[in-house]
Amino acid sequence: MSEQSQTLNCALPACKDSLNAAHEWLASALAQLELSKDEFNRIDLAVNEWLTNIILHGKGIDGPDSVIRMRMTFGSRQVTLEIRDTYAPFNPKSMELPGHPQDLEHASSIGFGIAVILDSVSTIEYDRVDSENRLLMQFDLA
Amino acid sequence: MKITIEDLDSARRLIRLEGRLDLIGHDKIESQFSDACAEGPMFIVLDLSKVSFLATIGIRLLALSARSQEELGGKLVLASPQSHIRRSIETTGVSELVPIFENAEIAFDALRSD
Repeated sequence: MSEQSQTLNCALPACKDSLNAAHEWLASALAQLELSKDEFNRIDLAVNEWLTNIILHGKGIDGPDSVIRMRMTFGSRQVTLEIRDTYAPFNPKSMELPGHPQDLEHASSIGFGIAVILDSVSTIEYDRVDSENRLLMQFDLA
Repeated sequence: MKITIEDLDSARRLIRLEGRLDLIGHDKIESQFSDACAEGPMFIVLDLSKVSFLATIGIRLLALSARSQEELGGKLVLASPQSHIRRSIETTGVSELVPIFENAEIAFDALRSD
């Protein structure tokens, strides 16, 4: 990360409306990098998929008051996002990916979220720290 | 998320989506979109040109609706996605099952000659 990198923090409730808030936060913070639509979408998509997974499938130790904490560090060549939540342990790297569906019945019954996240990031790390999931996604910029 | 449904004739339907098709957008249009894709056998073209964001929950909705139409004897295809939207669909492999065309006119021509 360059000397000119910046770090921003954001905390959002684990609810559906936070998807828009997260998008606005990313768009506002990263506007100065003048990313292409494709580059910004990689980041926006990975974050949206991870948050959706938490909101739809997580069972938090704090119940409906659970908070998702995000920390973003970015410079001209790289964006790094750390996302923490208090939900049940879930390691995306341990998931068996579905592969390409063979027919529409299969396509409409499987989840593609983790596959899309892994396709979007440059590197990804997961660990469980102090009863929290901690996902670290790095995006190298062109 | 907005949805517009236009029947060109009794067998051809053009559906336009506009906005972000993530969990929020999905929940807004799911009922109307699913109904529009399951009324009977039709050639349906889904115009994605104004979809600015497509999450996998949206891709799954497209696949489910294409399946409904296939079971009825019709067909649903996609048209005019922006490059980042096309990439998301291709990443999942759904583009191998639900064809993507450059625009709605080409899509309807292809459906007619199918």
